[in-house]
Amino acid sequence: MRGGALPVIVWGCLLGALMATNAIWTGDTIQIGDYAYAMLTIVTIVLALALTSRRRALRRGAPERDERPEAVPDISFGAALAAVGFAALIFGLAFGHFFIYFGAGLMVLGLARVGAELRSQRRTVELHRTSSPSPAQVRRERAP
Amino acid sequence: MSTVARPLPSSSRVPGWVGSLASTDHKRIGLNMGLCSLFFFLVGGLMALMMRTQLAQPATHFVSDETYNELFTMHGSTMIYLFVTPMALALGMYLVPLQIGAARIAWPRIAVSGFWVWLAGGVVMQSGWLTEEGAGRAGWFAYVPLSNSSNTPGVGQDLWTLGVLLAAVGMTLIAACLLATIASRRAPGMSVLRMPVFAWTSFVSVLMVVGSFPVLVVTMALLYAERSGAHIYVGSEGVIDYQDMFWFFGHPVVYVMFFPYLGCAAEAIAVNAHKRWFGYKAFVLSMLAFSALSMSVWSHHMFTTGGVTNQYFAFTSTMLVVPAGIEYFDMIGTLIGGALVMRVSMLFALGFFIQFLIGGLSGIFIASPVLDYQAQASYMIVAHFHYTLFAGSVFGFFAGVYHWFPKITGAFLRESIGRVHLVLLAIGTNMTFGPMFVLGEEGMTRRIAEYPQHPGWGTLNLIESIGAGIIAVAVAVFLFNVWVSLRERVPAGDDPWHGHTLEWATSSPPPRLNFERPLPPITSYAPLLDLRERAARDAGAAS
Repeated sequence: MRGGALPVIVWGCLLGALMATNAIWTGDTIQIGDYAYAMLTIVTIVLALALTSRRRALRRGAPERDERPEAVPDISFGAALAAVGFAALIFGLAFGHFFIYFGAGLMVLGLARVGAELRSQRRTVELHRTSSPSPAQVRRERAP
Repeated sequence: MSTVARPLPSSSRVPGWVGSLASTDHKRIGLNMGLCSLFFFLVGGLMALMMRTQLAQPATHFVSDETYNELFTMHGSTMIYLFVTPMALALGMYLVPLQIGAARIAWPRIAVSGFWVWLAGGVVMQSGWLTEEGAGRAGWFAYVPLSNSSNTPGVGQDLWTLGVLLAAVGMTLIAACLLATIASRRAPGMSVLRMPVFAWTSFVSVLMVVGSFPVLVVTMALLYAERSGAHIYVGSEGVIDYQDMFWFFGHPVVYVMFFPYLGCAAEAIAVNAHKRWFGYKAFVLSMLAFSALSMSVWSHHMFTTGGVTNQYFAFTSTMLVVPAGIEYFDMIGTLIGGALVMRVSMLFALGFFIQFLIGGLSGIFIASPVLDYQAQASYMIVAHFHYTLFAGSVFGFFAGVYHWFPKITGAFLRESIGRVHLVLLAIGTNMTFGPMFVLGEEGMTRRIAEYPQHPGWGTLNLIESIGAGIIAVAVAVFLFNVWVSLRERVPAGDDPWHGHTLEWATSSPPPRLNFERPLPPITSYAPLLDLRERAARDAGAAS
């Protein structure tokens, strides 16, 4: 995570400078609105990175080793189902109301399945934590 | 980076294609997206062949005018929304986590959803062909008032609008995952200034995607509302507002369709020159400036509308030559003094740089409003953007395919067949798009199903149509090469080219969590080259 937000900040500054010149030069509301959306996205990304990394994303340097265990899903039928449901819902806007209801139903099912997958993922990590020694314990045991 | 506890009990592997379609493995998602994009490339290419058959001679009635409108709309839409852009993201999805030493991507479920939403968008868009009124036919940009329900009635155009919306949502989700991966899952030691060149090109591309594609989603949603009876883009101001919103996506996407392929060509050149990429920091800075600038040039598509401040956009558009020049300078610097090996990937990469130059230089002319007024809506523009997107990006794509195919499949592509592919593609490309400059200069209008009997136009158009046929043969040769190479595999090993970046430090194809062996120390953007150089120095010192 360390340093991850820095290039985004540099890019945001460049875009901000261009937005300012556009505002001065053209004064066009829609154009400034376009830029403002992009700037808002960049600010949101930077804030999200800073908050989730406890500001490490704002510090220079290479990422440190992270030894926290994590469970990795192999497949996610829930995510695929939710996506197909969303697409069916949108398709239904042009091609019949049946698809709107069908798509919404699929989306709900898919999201429920994603919820179950995430719960299972959390349980796996907890199980791993309780069944294996923590990195601190390992270091203590290895110490002479 | 991360210690993986164990696979989820609830997610035991599902064998076969069912499991692979819902796989959260970034390599599988990248491959799925890449293969679907390739299919759409063939579909879009077929449309191009039909258009070129229609235009081969002045009064050819191969298709009706309405069908021609559908063809050029769907060809452009298919190539942009369903091939070049998603293929760039697919390459990033497959390669970037490997290059930055990550075991997996961030937010894998979002990536799975992104792939499916994008694919569904493609299917929805193409399903317009099955409707009574036919597919979308208001151009890949769907300007209002042309695209409103009075001027383009029918469900086909609705499906086009919603298909583009879905494709844009899907690609934004994929880009968000890549951005989160680069920001949060780099291996220990992989600082941002040690990321490989391709990873940087992908990084700036995904920044542009998340910064501009949602505007397209809003634009398409409003267009759909307009087509459903709401009055949103009203009067001449509404028309300009639509274009301002559309091109705020429409120009950055051109660079999303360029940067990752530039990265492919750069990696191929550096590895085949046995030299690290020249001027890395200048390249990184220029990529950041290039991408920010390319978010600020969109209204050069609107010079002739009279509704935008031409001076500002002429200024920013012309400024693009500075970072572009740095990239060319870096490429030449890498070649000079290198031990060049002319593999097919290297030749495609050189082809990318040479042919993109034609597209880029013609871009400088039309960045000037005075000249753009003359060239607007002529074949000059068609030639310009095909030289950037086809003669440029697609050559970069093939450079990447020949470079990374051994990593992805564990087998080499046949070099001899690859050379035939390259030669045919180069001939076909220049035959097809070169004469368009002449036709444009002579005033041939684009987006027309028929053209007048003007001296020389028939011959030039015939040459273009033959060229398009040669491109089709070249693509067939490529597909044959893939088929032969996978059927009679020549094992490639883990690092057949003596690569510079981390993807070559793992097996071919890489395992589920990418790296089973410890990563080499990451001391620069070319860690494997560092390792070899250190070993050579140590051997020299010992002897």
